[in-house]
Amino acid sequence: MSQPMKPVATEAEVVITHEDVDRAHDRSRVSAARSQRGFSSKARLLWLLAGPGVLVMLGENDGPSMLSYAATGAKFGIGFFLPFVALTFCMAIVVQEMTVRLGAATHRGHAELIFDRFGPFWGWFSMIDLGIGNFLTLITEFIAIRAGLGFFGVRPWIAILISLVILYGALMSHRYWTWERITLAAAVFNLIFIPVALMAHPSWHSVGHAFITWQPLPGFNKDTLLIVLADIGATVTPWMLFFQQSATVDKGMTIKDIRFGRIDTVLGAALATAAAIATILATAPLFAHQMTADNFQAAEFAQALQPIIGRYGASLFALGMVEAGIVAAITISTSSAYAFGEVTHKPHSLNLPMGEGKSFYAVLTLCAAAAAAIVLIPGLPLVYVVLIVNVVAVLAMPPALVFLFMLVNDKEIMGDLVSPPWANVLSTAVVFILTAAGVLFGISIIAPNIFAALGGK
Amino acid sequence: MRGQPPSALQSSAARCLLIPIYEIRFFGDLRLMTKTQPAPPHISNTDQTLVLSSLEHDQLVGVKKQHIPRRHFNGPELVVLWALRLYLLFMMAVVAYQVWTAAH
Repeated sequence: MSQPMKPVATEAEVVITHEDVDRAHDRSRVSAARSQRGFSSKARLLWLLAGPGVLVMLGENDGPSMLSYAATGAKFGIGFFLPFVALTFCMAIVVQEMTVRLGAATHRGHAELIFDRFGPFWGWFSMIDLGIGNFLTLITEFIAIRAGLGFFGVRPWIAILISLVILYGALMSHRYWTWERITLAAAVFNLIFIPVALMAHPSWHSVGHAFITWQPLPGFNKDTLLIVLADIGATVTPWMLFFQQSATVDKGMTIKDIRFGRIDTVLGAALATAAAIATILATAPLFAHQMTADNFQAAEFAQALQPIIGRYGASLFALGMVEAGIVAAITISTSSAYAFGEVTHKPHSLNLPMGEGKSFYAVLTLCAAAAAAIVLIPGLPLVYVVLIVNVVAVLAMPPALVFLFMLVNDKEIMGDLVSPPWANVLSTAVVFILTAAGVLFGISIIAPNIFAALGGK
Repeated sequence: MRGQPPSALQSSAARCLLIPIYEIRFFGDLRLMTKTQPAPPHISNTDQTLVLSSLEHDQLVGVKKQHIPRRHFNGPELVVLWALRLYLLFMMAVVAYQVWTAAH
C-alpha cells in the first residue's frame, strides 16, 4: 500500500504547542468514541467529526445565494430550477469531498499545498482569486445583514455592529471545537426558510412534477443564463475549497475519519439543498402573481411576500437573510485568515490563544471589519457587487478546480487516496460545465445578437 | 492488533516517534537552540503524553513547518493552467464591462 509522502522533521524542530494540546484533547474524544461499538457510539463519532462539511455547505447558502434562489423562485416559479439546484449541490459534494481527502491525508491547508507543491507563482494567482472573491462576497454578506435587519427597523450601523459582535464572540473561546459548535448552531437557522416555504402553500404536485420532468423549462435568454450562473455560483465557490480543507486540518481529522467527513459533507449538502429549494418555493408566489423582482434586495423580497405569507412569514424570511449573512461572514473571513497563515507560514488555527495567533486573528477581524465598513459608506453602488458576486465565483472556479484536481491525483502526497477514475470523470465534468457556463455568459454580454438568433432575447 | 482500542494503538505508535518523550520534557535544553528562538510554551507532562498518543506525527505544528517538496508541471498541464488564467482575465473584463454598462 502506497503511503502519502510525509516531511521528515528533525528533533530540534518539534516543539509541542498549546494548539497541539487542544487538538489532542479533541482527538482523544474521537478515539474514545471509536473504540466503542454500537449505534450510540457511531452517532457520537458523527457528532464529534461533523462540522466542516455542514458549515461549508450552509455557509455557502449565504446572502447573495439566498437572494439568487429568491430571484429564481420569483422569476421562474416552480419548474426546471428545483432539480437544477439539487444538481448543483451534487456538484458541490463531488468537489468538497476531495478537500476532505486532501486535508485528512496531508494535514495541510489548500493554500499551503498549492504554494508548496506548485510554487509561489501559481500560488499567488490562486490567492489573488481567493482574496478578491472573498472580499466581494464578504461585502454582500453585510449587505444582506443590513437589509435583513432593516426589515425590522434596525439602523444599518447597529445591524453591522451586531453581526461583528457575533463574529468576534465566536472567536473568543480560542478553541476550534467551541467556535465550530457556535457557528453550527447559527448555521442551522438557515432551515428557517422551510417554514417560510410552507406558509407560501406551494403546489406539491407541481413540485413533484418539476423534480421528475425538469419542466416547465425557462426560455433560453440572457436573464435565464444569469440565473443559471448565479445558482451555480451559489453552491460551488473557491472559498469553500480553502475553508473545508483548512477546517478539516484544524479539526485534526485523519485518514480514518474520511468516511465521516464524507457523511458530514453529504449531510451539509442535503440541509443546504432543503433550504435553497425552500427559498425558491417561498418566492414562487411572486411569479404566480406576476410581480417583477428584477432588482429586489433581501428586505424587498420580505416586503413583497408579506401580503402572501403574512407579517410573521416575512419576518422569518428577513431573519433567514440575516442568518445567512452572519454565518457566511464568519466562515469566509475564517477561510481568508487560514489561507493567509498557510501562505505566510504564520500560526493559523482557531485553537491558538490570541497572543500566539495575532496575525491569524488580525486578518480574520480586519477582513470582516473592512467589508462591514464599506457597506456603511453612503451612496456606494453596492447593488452591482450583489449582482456579480456569484458570477465572479463561477468564473474563478475552473482554475481553482484544476489545482484541486491535480493535488488530489498527486500520488506522492495522497498515496492510495488519489481520486478513483469515476471521481475524476465527475470532477472533469464539473470543470467543463462551469467553464461552458462562463463562456456562454461572456457571449451573452459581448454578442447578445447570437442569443436573439437562437430564439432568446 | 485487532481488538485493541485505537488510543492504545496510537500510544504504541507514539513510542516510535522521532522525539523521545524524555527529550521533550526538558524544555530548558530546547531554549538553548538559538538566541532568537522564542521560548517554547509551558506544556505539562500529562498534556505532552496526550499529544503524542492522540495526534499523528505529521499533525504536530512543529512538523507541519516543514515544506512539502515541489513538483513541476509538464507541457499539457502548463497549457491548461495558462488557458484557464487567460479565460479568467478575459471573463473578468467582460464582467467589468457589464457592470459599467449597467451603471450607465
